[in-house]
Amino acid sequence: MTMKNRWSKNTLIFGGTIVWGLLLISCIGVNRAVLAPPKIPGAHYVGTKECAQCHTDQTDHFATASHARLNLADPKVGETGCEACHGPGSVHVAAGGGKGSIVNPGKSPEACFACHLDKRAQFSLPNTHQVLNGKMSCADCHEVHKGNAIAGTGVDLEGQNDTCTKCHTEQKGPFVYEHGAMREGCVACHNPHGSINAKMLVARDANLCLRCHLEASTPGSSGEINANAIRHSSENHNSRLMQGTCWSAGCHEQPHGSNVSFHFRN
Amino acid sequence: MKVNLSDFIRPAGILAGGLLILTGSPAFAADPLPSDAFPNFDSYIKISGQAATISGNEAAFQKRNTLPSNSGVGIEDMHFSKDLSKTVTTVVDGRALTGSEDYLLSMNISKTDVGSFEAGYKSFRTFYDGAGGFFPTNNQWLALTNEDLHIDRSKFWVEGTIALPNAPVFKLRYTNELRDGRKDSTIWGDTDNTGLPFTVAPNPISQVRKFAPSYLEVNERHERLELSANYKVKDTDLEVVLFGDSTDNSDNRFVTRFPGETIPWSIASLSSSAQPAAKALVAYTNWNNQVVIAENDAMKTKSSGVTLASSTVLSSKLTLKVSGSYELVNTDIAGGRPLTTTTPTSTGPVLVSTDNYYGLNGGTKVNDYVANIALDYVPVPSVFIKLAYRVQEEYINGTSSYTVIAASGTPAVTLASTPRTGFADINQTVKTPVLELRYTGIKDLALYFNGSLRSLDGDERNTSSYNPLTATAGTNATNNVSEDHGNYTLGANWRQSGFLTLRGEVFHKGHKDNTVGYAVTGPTVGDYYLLDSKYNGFKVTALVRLSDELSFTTRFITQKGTMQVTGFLPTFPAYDSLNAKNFMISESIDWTPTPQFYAQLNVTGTYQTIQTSYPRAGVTPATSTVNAFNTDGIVQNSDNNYVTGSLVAGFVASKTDDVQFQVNYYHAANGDAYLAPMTMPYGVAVRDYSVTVGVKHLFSSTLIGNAKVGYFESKNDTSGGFANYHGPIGYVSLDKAF
Repeated sequence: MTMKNRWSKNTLIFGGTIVWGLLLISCIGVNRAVLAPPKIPGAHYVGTKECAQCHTDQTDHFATASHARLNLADPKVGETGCEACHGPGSVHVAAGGGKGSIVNPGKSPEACFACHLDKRAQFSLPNTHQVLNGKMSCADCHEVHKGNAIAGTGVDLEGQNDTCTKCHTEQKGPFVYEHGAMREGCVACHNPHGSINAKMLVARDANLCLRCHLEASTPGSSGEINANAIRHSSENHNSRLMQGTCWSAGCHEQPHGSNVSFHFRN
Repeated sequence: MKVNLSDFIRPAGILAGGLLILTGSPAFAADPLPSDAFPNFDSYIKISGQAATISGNEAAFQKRNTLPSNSGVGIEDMHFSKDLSKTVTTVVDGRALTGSEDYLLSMNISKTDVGSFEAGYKSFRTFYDGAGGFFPTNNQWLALTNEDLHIDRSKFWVEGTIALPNAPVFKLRYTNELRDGRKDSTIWGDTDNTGLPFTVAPNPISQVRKFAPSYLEVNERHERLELSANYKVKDTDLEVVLFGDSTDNSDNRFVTRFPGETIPWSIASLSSSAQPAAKALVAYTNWNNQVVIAENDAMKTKSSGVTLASSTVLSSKLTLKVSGSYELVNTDIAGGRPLTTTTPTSTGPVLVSTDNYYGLNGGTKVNDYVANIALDYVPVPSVFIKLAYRVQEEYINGTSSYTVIAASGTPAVTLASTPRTGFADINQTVKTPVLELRYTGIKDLALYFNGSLRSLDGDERNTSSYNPLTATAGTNATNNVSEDHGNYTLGANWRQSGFLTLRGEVFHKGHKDNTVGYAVTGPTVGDYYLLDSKYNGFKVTALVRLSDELSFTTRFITQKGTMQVTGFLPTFPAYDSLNAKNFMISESIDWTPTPQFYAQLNVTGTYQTIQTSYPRAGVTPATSTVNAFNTDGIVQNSDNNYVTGSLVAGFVASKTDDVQFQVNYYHAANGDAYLAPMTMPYGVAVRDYSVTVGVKHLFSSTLIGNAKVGYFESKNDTSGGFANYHGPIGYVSLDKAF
């Protein structure tokens, strides 16, 4: 099947004329501003000291945060700290706080996407967490104000997989037969920011497993895909990999760990 | 497509050079944002409704856009904040949208120097499309009988905090999370409906492909009760957390193998290695090949533990942090995996002779101890040094037992039960030293380094499942596990001027596996794959602000990875098992030529390929039963190339009207249907876009209306067009300030 583009030259000319015409009319006829969300009308920068008056929980430990190393001065927003992500805070300060007067990255990921452009792209892929529609936020998985941004790394008490398994409890186990790949972390096989592949897998096919599970050929059988060759077995998996992925029906169906089979076969 | 690093370095160099020529540009002052734009309300209720008329695969639309394919209406957002007195504040949030089944109700009341109370419930839905694979040879697409797949996640929480002056802060929190519904699975079932000839020796090409869709029925509960106390004693912050945690999960996977197939030979003969020659014709009543799997995985966990943490300011330059935790986890497992045929025998459906079990029971016990110590040292204000060390001891032992059924006879009517059991013990120690350095002594420049080395050592002993009536153990694996995981990052942020900021970072991730077996009968690593891996890459971000009206942000990321796997030492040497490349470039342009107009363009292109050894496997020699054939066709590189783009533009149409225009685009072209006769799956090829135009109208200073119309289209060659959709969608909302 081939994909046909429904957009024609006439469509672009016609649509573009309308858009630019309206824009011209608005610029000439109306003297009022419009702001790209989530900006706060009338706000200007006040500096981190103002934020620290109320938000000591965040400002006191920020020196230990991964983002502290960014030296957050930013030509887009000026020389500032907290306001680099939360936007100018004067309206928020004048109002004595409040939801509508400050940019909340916990509500919208736009503040994070300003620098992490690649994550905007990944979250717009077909297989991703629901961040763009606000059901989740970057802060659900990342610690922004203190310590490691990637929670569970370094010397954190919790492990890296805990970030995922606090919601995905079924994959946490513990299982009688653990999969060693879990020691590498969930991100060894899944990209939590988004993927073109189902279940956010980094590869859609047997390559996902074959990265680690190299099935070396036994001597004299060049070219064979010999599962278990490493164990001195010689079961040839050519026809099986022809049929589908390693975790297809009837095969290694429990890649997160199994209570029945140490081949994760169930 | 062959891409060399030089292809990217050259344009990056030209870009960087061009930017540096512009050094010395004046800094731009950060002007206040215009105050006459539409207001943001602090306390408000937003009521909305949307309706769509989608042609094609509605489930695919729902999954892709996280929207219902028909209609929905309700309270999209509600926020109420009020100071009840000088010291008491209450906040209420709410949401209730039908269609997307998105609900929230939470309430918080707090009193200064006393504490707070909060309770809430929220729920949202994730849609799934239930798509399996597509086989192009015979245009075969198998659909689930019920495509209404979705998972609802809901959470109830209640939290009380007592925060009296000069006293410990106590917090008690209870959460109860549910995850219910049905979702698709990538564990696809087999089918012979491929249009390929049935395998007859010496033809090595199997006619079977596994692309029949399957699904999971999910029923999960997670509860947690946590009590914490925080107190400051002189220069030391102390925290104690006690917690109890439980999960109760019972998930069922439904897979149909060879759905709806009738073939003229007996079920029993299907397991014969000599088929099809040994396949004997049977009566019409036995013409059925379908096998139904209804696998139940149930697990209950109960865990409890304590966490202690302290942070002491030793001096203006030194802060010491010490913490530790202990957790005890116990699990009970249950489940079964009956595989039944739908063969209409005189005894009804019969079990398949292999791969089934029932009566799973057993469990796992985990003792987990973690401690860490960290020293933050700031010798001068521009230098930050962190030295930290973490150690974890983990003891895991688990057992399981179950019964398998062997069926025999033609048709299979004789059933024999066999008990099976297995166990595993793991004791491991994980040690992680960490070093962080940060230097900001040079104006507008920050330099940093992070390094950690996670070393794991332990013993691992397990056995394959075995019949305890006839054996004392199955296949044993007894290993001395030893792994090192290194993560190192070196970076710099340079604010050249208000015009330009550059950020760069190089990183290295390495994994070294030194596991050896020490079984009495000789070294064995069982199923252990001795894996060494290296990933290297860098990230560069350039933020260029040409003027107050126009700015560019460019981000380029590249990463290369290799792995080596070593087999049964020392017989097999190390093999290269992976060669992965990833190049990603993103551009964001913000343009505000006048206060009455804004536009933001985002474009990202990704080139990513994962190559394992198999495309280089070559030709499999002929044997007595199989012809020689080129194995390279079975597993191709996994390419994950794609392009995404979005354009958002808004302008003022009148004193009371704003217009917003938005386009989203996504294209992945990695599908190679010609590979289908040799492999499955064979890629992703999708192009979709959406266009929306909306008008916001200011009815009054406390009431804003919004109306949008849009058009969504997706063409999915991966599914042979069976997951295509297109259609218009309309949306209206009213946003009223309290």
